[in-house]
Amino acid sequence: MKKAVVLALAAMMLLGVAGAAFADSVTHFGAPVAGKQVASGPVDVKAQVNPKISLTITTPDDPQTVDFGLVDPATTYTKSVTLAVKSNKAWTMQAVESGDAAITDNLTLTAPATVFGANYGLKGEWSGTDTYTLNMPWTVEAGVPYTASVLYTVTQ
Amino acid sequence: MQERRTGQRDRARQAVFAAVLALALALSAPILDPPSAEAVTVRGNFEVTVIPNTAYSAASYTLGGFRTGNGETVTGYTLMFPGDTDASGVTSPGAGDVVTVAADNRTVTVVLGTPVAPRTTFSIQLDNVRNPSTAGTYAIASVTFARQGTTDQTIDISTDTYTIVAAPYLSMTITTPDPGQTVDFGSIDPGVPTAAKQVTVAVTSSAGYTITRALGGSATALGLNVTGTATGTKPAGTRTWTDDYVLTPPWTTDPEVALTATVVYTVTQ
Repeated sequence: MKKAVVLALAAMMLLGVAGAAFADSVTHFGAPVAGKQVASGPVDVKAQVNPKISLTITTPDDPQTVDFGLVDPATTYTKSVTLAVKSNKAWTMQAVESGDAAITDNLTLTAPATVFGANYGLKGEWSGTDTYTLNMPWTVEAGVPYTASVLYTVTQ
Repeated sequence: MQERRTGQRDRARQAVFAAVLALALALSAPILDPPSAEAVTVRGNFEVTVIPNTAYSAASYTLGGFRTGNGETVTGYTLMFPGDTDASGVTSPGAGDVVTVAADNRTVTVVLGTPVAPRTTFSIQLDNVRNPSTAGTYAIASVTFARQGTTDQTIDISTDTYTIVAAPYLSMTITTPDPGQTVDFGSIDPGVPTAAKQVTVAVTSSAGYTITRALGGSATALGLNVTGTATGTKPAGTRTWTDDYVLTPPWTTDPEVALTATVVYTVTQ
């Protein structure tokens, strides 16, 4: 145990010394330019950006819920979900419904391409509105709480 | 006849005695006439030379010549530059010389890699000493020599002055956290500000000056933002300014592409 601790400390000290040695200094001396002493020097800034995509879903109800509450048959109800995509590469979106057929059979979503219009699939930051339209037919049993899910997937 | 022989014998004895006496005196000469107590002497043409001798400049100082005495070896020396002289970065050109500078940045001690042998004429040279900021006449008061097997010896050279002249001077030292005058952020995420990295700009100027920064290259693609004190109008003298570098690449920047932005610092008197 003691030996392992000593080795670990030595490794930490070595890394500390190596880190301190990386700083770089260059001196530029003035030269006359149009009667004035001028000195100039460049600094390079380097980086590489990682591929990244993110999707932010904003629902009208908590948590991440669209709650139509009590609905009448053969009546159209709409609610909106805001979708925001950030991507530094081209992307696509899928929306897959699952759950109670009473909802999935009678719920209409806006196509992703329509949600984002001309910006669909372009790298950058975009947002749009997915309109949920629900119309329960007379054949749906009344007095039953129904639940369904919409899974959004964005892919570069 | 007998008196002549006696006189001849006396003269022979006297000659032998004189020869023996002369031999004894020759052998004892080193005892009767010991070596000088001072190992080092200042030559008749001694002077202090400063190149360049302009205010603020990093210069080479040569003090010469000195001469070691009989049987004495000089192993090093110490001297103190006059006020407003900065010897913090001083170097000695001799192979194996070890240089130390006191906290006052003016007192320099050199242990010679090759000691100076007896009866040798030599000079002292120290490089990268920053001259005073004000023109005028200056002097190094003394040099103390370390001698092998005996006490140190201090030589007064306060009357051997040198002149520093006024001239426009400007220098800028840029220090970056990564090699090759680079600030390297490695792999970063879009839309997320990086932790700041610092660049320092140290300026020595004989007159007031202005610092400017010019961003170029992939500065926009990287979302480069530079803030800090290394910009604007500044007074004469030596000062260090610090800038913070932060990248926030936009989502429109292509990933997996090595990008380089440039920041050019320009100092103008």
